This record gives sequence, C-alpha cells and structure tokens, in this order.
Amino acid sequence: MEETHIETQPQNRLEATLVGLLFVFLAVGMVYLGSRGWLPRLASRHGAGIDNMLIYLLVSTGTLFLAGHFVLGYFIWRFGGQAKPSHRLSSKKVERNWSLVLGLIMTLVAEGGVLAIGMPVWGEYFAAAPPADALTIEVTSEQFAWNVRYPGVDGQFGSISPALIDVSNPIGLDPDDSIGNDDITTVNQIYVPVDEPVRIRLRSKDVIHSFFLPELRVKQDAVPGMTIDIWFVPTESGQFELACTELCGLGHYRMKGFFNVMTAAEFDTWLAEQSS
Amino acid sequence: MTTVARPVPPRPAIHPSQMGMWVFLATISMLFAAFTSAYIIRRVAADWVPIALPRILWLNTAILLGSSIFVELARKAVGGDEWSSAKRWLRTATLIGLAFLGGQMMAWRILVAAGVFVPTSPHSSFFYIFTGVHGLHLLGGLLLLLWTTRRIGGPRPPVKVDARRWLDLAATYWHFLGGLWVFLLLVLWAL
Amino acid sequence: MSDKDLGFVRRYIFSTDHKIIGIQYMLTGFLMAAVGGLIAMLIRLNIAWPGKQWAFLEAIFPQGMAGGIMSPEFYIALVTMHGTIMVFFFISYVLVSGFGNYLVPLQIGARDMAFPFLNMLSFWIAAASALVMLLSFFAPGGAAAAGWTAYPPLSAIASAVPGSGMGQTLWLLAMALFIVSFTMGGLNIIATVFSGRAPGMTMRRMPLTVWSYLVASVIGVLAFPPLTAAAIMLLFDRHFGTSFFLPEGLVVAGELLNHQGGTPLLWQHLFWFLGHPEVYVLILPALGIVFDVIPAFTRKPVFGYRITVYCYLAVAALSMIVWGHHMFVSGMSPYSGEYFSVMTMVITIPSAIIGVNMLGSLWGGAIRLKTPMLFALGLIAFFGTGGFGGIFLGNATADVQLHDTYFVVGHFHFMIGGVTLLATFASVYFWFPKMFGRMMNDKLGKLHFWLTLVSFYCIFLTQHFIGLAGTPRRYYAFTDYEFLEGIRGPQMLVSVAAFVMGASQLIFMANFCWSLWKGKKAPINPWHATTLEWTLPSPPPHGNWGAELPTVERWAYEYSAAEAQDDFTSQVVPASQIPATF
Repeated sequence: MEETHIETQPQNRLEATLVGLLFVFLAVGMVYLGSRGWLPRLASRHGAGIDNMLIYLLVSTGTLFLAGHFVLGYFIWRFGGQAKPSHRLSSKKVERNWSLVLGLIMTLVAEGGVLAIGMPVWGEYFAAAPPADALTIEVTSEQFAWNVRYPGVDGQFGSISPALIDVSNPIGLDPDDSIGNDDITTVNQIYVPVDEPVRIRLRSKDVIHSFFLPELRVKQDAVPGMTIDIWFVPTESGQFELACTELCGLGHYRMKGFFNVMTAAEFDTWLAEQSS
Repeated sequence: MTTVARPVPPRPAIHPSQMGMWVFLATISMLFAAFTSAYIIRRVAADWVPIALPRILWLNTAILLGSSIFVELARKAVGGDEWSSAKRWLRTATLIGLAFLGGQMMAWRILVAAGVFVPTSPHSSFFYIFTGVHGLHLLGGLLLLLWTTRRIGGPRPPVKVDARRWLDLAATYWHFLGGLWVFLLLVLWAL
Repeated sequence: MSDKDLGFVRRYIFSTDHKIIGIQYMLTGFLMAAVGGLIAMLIRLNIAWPGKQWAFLEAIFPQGMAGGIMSPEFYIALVTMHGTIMVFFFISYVLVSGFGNYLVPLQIGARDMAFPFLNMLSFWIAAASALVMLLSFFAPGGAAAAGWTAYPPLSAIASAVPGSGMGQTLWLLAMALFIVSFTMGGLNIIATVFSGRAPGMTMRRMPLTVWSYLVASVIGVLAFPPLTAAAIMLLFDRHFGTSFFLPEGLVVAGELLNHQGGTPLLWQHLFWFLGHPEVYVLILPALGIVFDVIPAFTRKPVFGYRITVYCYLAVAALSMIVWGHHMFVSGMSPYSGEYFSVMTMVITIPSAIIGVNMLGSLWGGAIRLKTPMLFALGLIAFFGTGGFGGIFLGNATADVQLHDTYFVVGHFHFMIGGVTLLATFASVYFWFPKMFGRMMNDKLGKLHFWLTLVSFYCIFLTQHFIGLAGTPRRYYAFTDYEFLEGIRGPQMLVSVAAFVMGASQLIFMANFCWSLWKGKKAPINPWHATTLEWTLPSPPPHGNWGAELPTVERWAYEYSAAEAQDDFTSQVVPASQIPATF
C-alpha cells in the first residue's frame, strides 16, 4: 500500500465552508443583478406577450438557478469536512425518482412555458396573417442602410428591378411603371401612426441583414431573394432606433435607422407632405 | 448490495476494421444525404433547367455494377484458397473500375462540348459535384483494390487472414460505391 | 513490445502511440487557444475603448490597425477567427481529440487505438488544418470575416467584406481538413470502444468518460458530413459561378451579380445540422470526465450511472433534430419554428437529469477540495447557468428578442468556454501525474481556479444582462445607439474581467511548465482512483499493459466498498477478494 499522500487527506472544514458560501453568494449576487430592469421599455402590443415570456423564464429559471447553487453550496459545506462518506450507494429507486422529479420540473417549466405562454404569442406574431387594413411599408436593407418605401396614394408598389439600381435609385424603381410614380421613398426613416397595425415587407439587396426594433420587440432577418412579411402594432409615440442584428460586413454596427411613431393626424400630415 | 463478478464478454463478431468501414460508409451516406436534400430544395426554384444526361452514364453504371461481380468472384476464390485466381479477378475489377472513371470523364467532356458547364444550370452544378465527389471516393476505392491485390500476392499462409480481411473491406467499400452511384444517377435522372 | 528501437522521429513526431498523439493534440490545441485568447483580448480592448489608438499594435497588424486604430473589418475578422479557433482548434483538439486519444484506450484496457496508423494521420491532418487556418490571416484581404457561422451571401461574395476573399477560401479548406481529421478520429474511437476492451470490461463497467467519448464520436461522425457538403457548395458558389446559396438580383459594391435561384437559408440548415450536435460533441466528454473526477474526491460512487448513460444517448439523439432553434427569425417557416422550439425543450430533461446526477454524486461524500475537484464543482455551476440560458433561447418567443444579442454570446460561452474549459483544466490537473509522472502545484491551481471562475462570471453573466437590454452581437462599437447607453459601463466591466481572466491563464501555463520539470514526483495513483490507467506507471509504457492485458472485475466506481480495507478498489481487483457492488 502506498504512503498516504497529501492528495488523499480529508478536507479542511473552514475551506469547505468558505467555498460553499462563495457559490451561494455568487448566485444571490447574480440574481440580484439580473433582477434590475434590463429590458428596454415596451412599445408594442405583441411585445407584451414576449415580455411575459421573458419574465416567466427569468423568474422560473432564476428560482432553479438559486436552488441549484444553494444545493451545491450546501453539499460542499455539509460534506466538506467528512473523513469518510456518510452515504455510499443510492438505490436504483432513489436514482430513478430524482430523474423523474427533474424530468417533471423541466417539462413543466421549460416545455410548459413554451406551450402555455410561448406558442400562443408566437402564433399571433408570426403565423397569423396581418390585418387587411395594415399600413404596408417595404424595407429593403443594404450595406449599410435601410431603404424605405411607401406605396403612395394608389396603395400599390411600383415595380422594381435590380438592373436599374444605381446610386440615385437604391432599390431600382422602374421609371416606366406609372404605378410607382406616387411611391414615397426614404432612407433610414420610417414613419407610422400609433396604435395601428404596421406590416413591413422585408427585403435585402446584398447580404442577410436583420430588422431589430428593441423597444417594439420586433426582429426579423432580411434575406436576399426573399420578401418576408412581419406585422406589429406600435403602442407608444416617439422615435425608436432600428438596429441591424445579422452580421453584414464592416458597417454592421452603424446601420442605424429611425422608427418614428406619431399620432394618426401627424402621420397623415407627413404622408401628405411627401406626396406633394 | 454485492454481486458475483460478471462473465467475460465474448469477442465481438465484427472485426474492428469492418466496424471502421461501416462507420466510414455512414459518413459518406450522410455526405450524400446532405447533397441530396440540397438538391431537393434547389429543385423547386424557378431557374431549374434539367440537362440531358449523356447516355454513356448508363453504360458506366453497368460497368461499375459489373465490376462488383468480379470483386465477389475474387472473394469466393480467396475463400477456396485460389490465390492467383483471386488476383486475376481483382485486377479485372480494378481495370473495369478504371474504365468507369474514364467513362465518367467522357461524360464530362460530352457535356462540356455541348456547352454545359458547372454553373450552366443548378442541375449541371449538382451533376458535376455528384460525379466528382463520387469519383474521388471511387479513386480511393481503386487504390484500396490495388493494395488488396498486393496483400493477396504476398507470402502465404501467415497473412491469409490479413488478405481476407482487406478483401472484405475492399469489397464492402466497392459494392457501397456501386449502390451509391445508382442512387445518385436516379436522383439526377428522375428528380 | 518496445518502441525503443524506433528513432526519435517515429517515437515522438510520427508516433502511432495514442498517448503521444493525445499529447500532440493537446499541445496544438493549447497553442491555438493562446492565439484565440489573444484575439479575445484584442476584441475586448476595442469594445472597452472604441476608436482608441494603440501604437504598438500597429506594428504587429499594419493593415488591421492602420494608424493604431482597429478597423471594423479587422474587428469582425477577429471575431470570426476567435470563434472558429476556440470551438474547433482549442476545445475540440484538447478535450475531444487530445484527452479522448489519451484516456480511452487506457480506461478500457487496450494497448492502443484500433487503428494506430490512421490515428497518426488524423493528427497530422489536424495540424495541417490548424496551419491553414492560421495562414488565412495573411491572405490578401485578411482572414475570413463572416462569423464562425459563415452565412452566405456575406461569405460567398468577395466584395461583400474583405475577409470574403482568399481568407474565406482558406477557412473553408481548413475546415474540410478538420472534418477529415475528426472523422478519422471518431471512427477510431468507435471501433476501439467496440472491439478493444480488455477481458471483463463490459460496456456497463466502462467509466462514464469512455461512454461520453463514444457517444460524442457517433454524433460527430454523423453530423459533420453535411457541413462538408455545404462547404463544397459554398466553394463552388465562390469560385465556379454556381448558385446554391445565392439568389437573383444581388447588388454588392455597386455591381449586379448574375447568380440566380439559390437560397441563403440552405446554408443555414446544413451548417446548423452540424452546428448543434457539434456543441454536444464538445460538452459530452466534459460531462463524462467530471463524472470520473468527482468520485475520486468524494470517495463514493457516482449517483445514477446507468441513467446518465441513457441521458447521454437521449441528448445525442435529440441533438440531431433541433438545429432550427438557431434559425427562429431566419425567414424559415414559423411552423418549423414551433416544432423546433417544442423539441428543444425536450433536451432540457436529460440535461437536467445529468445535472442532478452530478449533485447526487456529491451527496454524502467525503468531499476533498483539490484543484481538479474545484474545477468539477465550478463546471456543475456553469452547466446549470448555461443550461438555463438555453431554455430562454430555445423558446422561440423569447428568442425573438434575444437572437443575435449578447445573451446568446453569454449562453454559449458558459457552455463551450465555461463547462468545456473547466473540464479541460480539471483533466489537466487530474491526469498530469499520469501523463508526466509529477504533480502540478495545488495552491497555484486553486488560485487559477478562483480567478478564472469569478472573472468568468463577471464576463459572461453580464453579457446575459446586456443581451436582455438588446445589445446586438458582432458590433465593432456601441456608440451609435442611444438605447445602448446603459450597457457601455457593463461592457467596460466585461473587458476588465476578460483581461483578468486572460492574465490568470498565465498562472496555469507557468504551473504546467514548471511542474513538468520541477513538480513533486507523483506516485502511480496519487488520487487513489479506481480506473485502469491508475494501475500503470506514469507515463504508461508503449503498449500500456506489458505482457498481459488486465482482467476487469468490477465497475469503475468502487469507492469505499464495505469489505475493502482501502477506501477505493481498483477495477482489476478480483471479485473473489472484494465483492463487486453494482
């Protein structure tokens, strides 16, 4: 038999206590920091559903997180001074029961969260078609700007062709198509009335970008070759920032747009000004 | 709770080299499964223009499947200790395999002559990739056949087991590539 | 069997001995980790002080840091290469290939891997892959800059970003070599575990470490080929004018390109088909190793051995059908999103069970807080934290807000930079005595642990919070947006903590190097552990077992058996001497 090495000697009680306490302290500290209001202020209708989902997850996983760290810290403290194990082998039943308990917890918390809260919100945001009277705005992203187009008085978008794209015609509007004559175009500026559904037709000229309005809880990748519809209802007036959240090249960090939400009257005024 | 020591497990029925080969075939299958799913997805786009597959491909297919027969004949010969027969069958299979590759390159030349290149249509892109990647794997198969022929030609009887094992590996690989080719050709032709 | 007649080159350079190959993988991996880590320091430097001039850096990177200021294109190349190097060339090389090669034959009682020559080939192809990846920094236009995820069209069109020139091509070639190497290695592990076990080493007596390498290898070899297919198609789109991923009407740098019909989403599906199982390839060995380290420091068997094996299998199978949770807002069908979200939540079940089994393995034990055990305990904490973050991201609704924000960065660093990193350290401290015959300094090890743990939490938990605040990923600077004003302070904290964490690794390196020559000489079983490798000399000789293979009589966790005099019973002790429990 070998000499007893320092590696196999029993644990110092004080060290075990400190280590156990540290894990608990770390966890409490993190939960404290995490419960400061990190989410941006809410400014859309479906966003309330997303926030519900997030808060549910923060509370439920936060609780499990604390519980797990408490258990870890407690075990280290309690068993960190023993010279020999006080409990050796659990029965198959105990092992199985703990698996069932965790399986149940995860099913309820994780899967339950998705099924009960998540999917209804998802269905409403994504899978449902936009209301027929939604204001439709086309946004064509490019390196590194957002090209915005309104259909104008006739309510129809004029045809566009990539072959016609140049510096002065960033989305390739066809001058020969009379339907497009009343289209209103801006760069990096979107204007919408508050409390009305907005439908964004997302496109991209070059690489994948992503249309992100943090306060409105809106995010959708803009994929070249696809026209992707999303819709939502802004509920707060003000100017919100539009950020790109899909790596798109060297200007990815500065692809800033402005999403301006205003009263219906102000919006109609703006629209009229553009048309003249 | 104590138990009596459990009995020693029997030696596995499959030699590790065969298991290694099956795993390798699984990875090749996954590779072409990915290519096939890409094919199916790409198939529905508006710009899909099917190309006329050169008729020589059907001849090549027959050649490749035929070569499998010779590999099996080699296997039977080795089972009956007929080593020089085995070598002959293997050499035949190798030559036929070489002819297959030559035929595939012929198919490429026919397409190029008809103005069908890699980017001409998505169908042609897949054609060149399927035949190219399969052909590369087949080249490896030819090298394996040559190596196996060499092992068979070695001193006997000590490395008989070794030679049989190599032949089993080469045969498994070769037959798989034959079957894979039929699958790929059907995808290119029918889908 | 002796290898003394082979020259130095055959013994140490082109060795077919799994132990040498394992160490070669580890050294290569740690070298790449240093590169990846230094890149991280540069990234954090730029985030903390955007636009600041660093004259000394201009000397090293004349193009990327022209005028001493980091350019945005250099920044995103650094971000790309950091991710690529750390995932594939650090963790995979050290933890999966390195320790996998070293431990698996020893722990099952084999003399070597099933295919030693193939093993040697796999390492040298891996080394070539690493070299090509490093060379890509010097390509015209610099290294790849489309993220480690390489989404086209950004990665397909050279004019879209400078790194998409030669740099991206070299990246793809390096990855092709990597996949070939990994496939060879995975194949070897599978064949070895199935046919190389010593007499008496039934599957049920294998340590959880071996199980984890087996399962990881199976999913690895099945999941990587689709990435090969995708890489080939991307190379073709880049160089041969095809349109697998490129649609019609692309206008890049003022030029209308003549592709048509392709879809960028196809790349994403193929990439993530590999990408998701890949993270389990990395994390399963981490978890398996921890299940072997913990019992040595609790002096009692693991809790839930059989259940853990089933959970490995469940996690592996499930991991292959949930890849779409990386694509909830990609433009993929929302119905697919529903499926992927519901299915992803199922994975939390076996994962949580594995976690509870780790905690249960502590219950009632005689816990000893040596360095390897501290890393194992930290790993449990990280696994839980990272796992909970995963519940947010796998939830499609929550992911709308969190996708491509720092929440994701925080989450995956907990799993890959946290769980796997701590497992790597635990493995080094634990098996160093077996590999080199000396002990590492335990006090320095503990210092390394605490500095790493605390700074890690400061960095990556904070990133969860700023992700909740909406901070986008891969941003060169955060100064353009008002909604990000509140996160600039936390970003500074993160950078400072990152510098501390980076510096702390120097303690590890110093300890490692010093201990190689001056470490206290180790007995052959310093931790009094039960698995087979601890019955061998340190380091084990070529061929491992001498004239006769060992005969295995019991499972791998015979600690504190009632009838035994010692508080551990090696796997080779006959059952007639001390009855086998389990």
